[in-house]
Amino acid sequence: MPFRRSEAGPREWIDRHRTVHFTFEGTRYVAFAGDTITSALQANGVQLLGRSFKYHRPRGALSMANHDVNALFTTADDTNVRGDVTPVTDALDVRPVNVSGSLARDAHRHLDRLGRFLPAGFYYKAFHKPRWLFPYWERLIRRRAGLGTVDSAWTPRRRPKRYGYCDVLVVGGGPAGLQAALGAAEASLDVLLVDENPHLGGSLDYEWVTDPAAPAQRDELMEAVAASPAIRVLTSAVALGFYTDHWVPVSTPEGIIKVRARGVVLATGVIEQPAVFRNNDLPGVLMASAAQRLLHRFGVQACERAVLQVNNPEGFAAAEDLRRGGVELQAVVASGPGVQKADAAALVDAGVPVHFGWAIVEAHGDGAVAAATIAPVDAGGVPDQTHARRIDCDGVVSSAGWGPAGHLLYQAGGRFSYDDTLEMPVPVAWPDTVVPAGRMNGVFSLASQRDDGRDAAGRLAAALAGGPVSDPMSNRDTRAHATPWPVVPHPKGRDFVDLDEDLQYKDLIQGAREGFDNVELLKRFTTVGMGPSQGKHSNLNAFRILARYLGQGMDETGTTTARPMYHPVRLEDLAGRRMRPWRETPVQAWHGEHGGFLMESGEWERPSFYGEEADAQQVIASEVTAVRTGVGIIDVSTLGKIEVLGPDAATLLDGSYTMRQGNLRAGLTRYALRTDDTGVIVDDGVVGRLAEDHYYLTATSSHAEGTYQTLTRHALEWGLDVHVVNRTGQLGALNLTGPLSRRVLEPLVDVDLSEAALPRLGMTDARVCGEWARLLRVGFVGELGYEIHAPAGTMARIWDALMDAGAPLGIRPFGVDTQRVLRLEKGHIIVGQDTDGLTNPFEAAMPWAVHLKKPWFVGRPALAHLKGAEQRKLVRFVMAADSSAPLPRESHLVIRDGTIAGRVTSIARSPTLGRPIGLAMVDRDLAEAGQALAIRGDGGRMLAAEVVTETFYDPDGLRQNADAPEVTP
Amino acid sequence: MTLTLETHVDLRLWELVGSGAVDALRAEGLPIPEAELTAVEHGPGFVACTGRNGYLIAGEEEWQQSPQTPPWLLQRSDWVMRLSGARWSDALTELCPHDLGRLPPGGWFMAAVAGVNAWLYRPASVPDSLLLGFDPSYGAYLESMLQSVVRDPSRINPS
Amino acid sequence: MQQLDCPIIGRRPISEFVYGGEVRRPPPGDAPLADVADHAFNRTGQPTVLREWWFHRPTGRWFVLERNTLSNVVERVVPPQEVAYAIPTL
Repeated sequence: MPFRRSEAGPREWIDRHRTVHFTFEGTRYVAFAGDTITSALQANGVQLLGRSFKYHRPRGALSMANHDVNALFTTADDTNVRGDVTPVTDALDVRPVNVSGSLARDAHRHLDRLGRFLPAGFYYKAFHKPRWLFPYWERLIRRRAGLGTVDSAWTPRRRPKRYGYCDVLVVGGGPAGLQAALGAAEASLDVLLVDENPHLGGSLDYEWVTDPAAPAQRDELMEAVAASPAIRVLTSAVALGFYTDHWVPVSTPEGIIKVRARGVVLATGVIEQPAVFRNNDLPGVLMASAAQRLLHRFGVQACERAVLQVNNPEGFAAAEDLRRGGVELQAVVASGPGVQKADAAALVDAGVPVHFGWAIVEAHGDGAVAAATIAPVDAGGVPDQTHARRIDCDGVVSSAGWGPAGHLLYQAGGRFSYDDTLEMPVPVAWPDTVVPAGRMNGVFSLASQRDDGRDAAGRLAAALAGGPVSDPMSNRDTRAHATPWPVVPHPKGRDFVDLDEDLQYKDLIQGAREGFDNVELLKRFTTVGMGPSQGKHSNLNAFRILARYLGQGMDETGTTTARPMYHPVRLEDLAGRRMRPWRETPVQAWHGEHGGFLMESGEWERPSFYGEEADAQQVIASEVTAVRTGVGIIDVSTLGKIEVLGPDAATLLDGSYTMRQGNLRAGLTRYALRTDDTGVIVDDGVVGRLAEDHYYLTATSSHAEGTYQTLTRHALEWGLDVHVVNRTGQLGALNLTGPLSRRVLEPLVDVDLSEAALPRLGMTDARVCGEWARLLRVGFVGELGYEIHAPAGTMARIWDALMDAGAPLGIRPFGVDTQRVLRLEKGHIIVGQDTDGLTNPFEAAMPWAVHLKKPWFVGRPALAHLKGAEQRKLVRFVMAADSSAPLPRESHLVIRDGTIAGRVTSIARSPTLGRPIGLAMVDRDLAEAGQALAIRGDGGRMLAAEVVTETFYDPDGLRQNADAPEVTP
Repeated sequence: MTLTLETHVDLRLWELVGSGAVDALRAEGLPIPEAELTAVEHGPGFVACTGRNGYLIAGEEEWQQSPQTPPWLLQRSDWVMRLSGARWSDALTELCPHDLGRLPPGGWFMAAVAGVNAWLYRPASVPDSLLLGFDPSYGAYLESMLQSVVRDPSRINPS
Repeated sequence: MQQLDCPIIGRRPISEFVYGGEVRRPPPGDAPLADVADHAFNRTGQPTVLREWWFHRPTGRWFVLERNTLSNVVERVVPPQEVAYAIPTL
């Protein structure tokens, strides 16, 4: 059983003077500040830490490095908490995940006995028949699958992200990383050094602790780094992935820092790989680096009597480490090219039984390891049972080999190749500015790791200075640090390759045999490497198994893609601060204060009408009537507004719009339509001319930015001498409209508003309330009206002045929905509502807007062919006045002979005409005056409509005469 | 380490475009920035060159929108804010993907702050401050974003 | 996050840009239908060095870049004069 040693070690992370109290499964325990959940439980002798995903087998500490999720917990605040690396805090209440009841008495633990019915991929093949039972299985499996439960009442605590910058980012604070950081600082580079652990040191703090040469080197490195002003250090900081141009998100407890570096050193180290034998997942079976982490960082001795499997020099060093720490080594089995008899000398001298050419065949125990069977094995992992021996123990420690933590290097475009000497993949190609160093680079001795870090920093500095980059020194070791075959397959199975996913050796063989014999297919069929550890402890062994099955080399077998994030990241961290821009008009506050019913319109919120939502129809109708009989005012500040200035202004607009703009007289405006290369309507607006070289145009709110981008691009593309200025947000705009509008406005302006001075469709600069403004006479709603554009800073004052001046005349503010009815009464289209992604101007019944006389404009080549070829047409229609039936809605279909013959695009009850009116896009032969239309409304009810050709209201435009007697002041 | 945010700075902005723009600046006695996307200090504001024959003038002068001949003077209504304090660039590490700490005194920069296009000016005479200006319709949004960043007690910069 | 290095504005993250598509010359105003449709709908998808329009939103400037679509590396900044053409006017 594990326990806490009373004697403090030299490199402990725990503070033995500060105790922490926490509970696990309702039992209170004591730990030290600095303990993680796993180390705290182990210190208290708790070995059973979890139940596996599928079979609910008992599990304990395996890697102590977040390379497996045997120790996964839930707390009050969080679930799927990784016990290996999550600090214990006072009053923390820890519970297991994936259990029903307690860990010891998990109600699902019998699933282990049903294991043979639940091999890899069983869910692809079972439960199809009987089909009617499938929903039951689906619900059952969904409940059983997954680990922690989500608290749906969770309140997110967003952690804002921020940007960070450096010349060199060093990932990994072990010996190679520390040395690389120093090397880069010496080259006058600004360094950011990050390490996922709470302390720098890496392997110096668990593997090299008792090495006599190490402490002095460690002190030297740590002091130099701390003293260097050019090196910033972040601990508990995980480099999550590598993105283009050295963009590395680093996850810290306070949130993600998106680091932009000029160069990166990856000193990310290696990940220990487990030995595969029967019951290698029992609590008490762990890897040597885990035992050393427990011992040196947390003062926890993993067991009292251990059996060790050693396949590399690190294993022998760890064995000696544990032995001197007080662990009784019952037996050491060592095999493979990584083993040299000389390495075992200290053990042999100490009287430890060492068996060369042997391996662990099976671990035994009920809920925790109690014994291990060892035997001689051949190169295929086949044991010689005649010499097998069963040894009592309470711990099994393995040191089978290492895989590189090469994820970020892969993502940066680096390539790895399997090194037959080292028996692990090593980098063989990488960009000059993303350099590997240390054990990830196949460099193992402490001195060599420092050399490698120094060399990497030097080459990186040269690359950043733009100079030639020398070839890398080879600091790699020349002997194996792993066994190529750490597998002893057992006929009865339970020899786990991926402990996250409960995958045994035979599951991988079965997958390959079924034809999923390619790494990508094998991964997806068996789910190897798809668990929370993402293959950290399982991928390399899986590739070894597949390679051997196929009889091919490791490089030929390949690897799966290493994708960000390196460790899982909370959604709270990825979401960061909420940044959803919204915009306000200069009159925004007024609308809210005066009963405006606001609706979202892109980034804006605009009043739909002024009144209660329940009264919408009546309010809109009364606003329409107010505009038609009196005067109304609407805030149209969201309109796109663009100033076009310069000698080639006319050419720019002639080329960008379908209508001629070059012959527009100064002081007038003209409707402006834009299409794309296929002749499809993109946007509309109004173009006005103030002088030969000075135009001012409007665009719809949602296309303002797009219009600006299109015009500026055309200016460049056509080599024009012109300035295009986007004034959309800088100017506000309002529309004052109705027969009484001239009377309201006249006293406030300094220009003559007679029909002669400012004719229909005219435009002029003026002073309104003493401030510069621009007046446009536009006819969108069909009454005498003035659109007033003024700087955002003066707009509110002008609005208030007009409301005051209009009060005696009953001025009414009106909203967007009212405006939609008003323009519909004039038969005016709204781009995007009455037109769709394929509508051209001919279909939209606007052939007059296409001036094919111009030799060229955007869309002309297509429009020349589309003219007259339209298969459908936009028509106006009316419905019976007295109908109490509900109206059809936009997009309801026009039906003829049982098939679709069109659809409604706009519809409203017209207060002015006293009947419903609308626009519909219909088959061409239905576009005749008097044609009856059958529209299918809600519930399939057919409603009758009739096509009319004349515009519904004031077809001759008489209402817009500024000199008419009833409108003149 | 104080960091203050003034959410409404009284600076008026004008855009001057068209041939003869440089002469117009000279005629008004305004400083002229040499290169595109640079600015020179002018009173409490600046004159920035935004492009070929394009300038942005920030100051307290009252001008008129000019008549219809080049160069054209166009009135703007930028919402202007100021960050002050030695660590003004800290506030922007959460909102702007640029190492603004490296913007030299007198430096001018155009970037997106919290997703909104803005101009940034670090006055040479007050280098521990930054002026920011943007489309006024985004003012309320940016005011809220900057205030929440400036007030955030957990704001940390790696150092 | 990729960066684009453009004249005057310097190295900027790609999030500040809007992609404007391939640089192409439209067909003449009276082009036959097949040419119009080909220009409107057809593109070559094979890996190539593509000349592209890129719009930088904070400064409102357009750039023409030549980008290798296989390596995603921008190989050259193209002066706008190189892609300009005159449109016929009345």
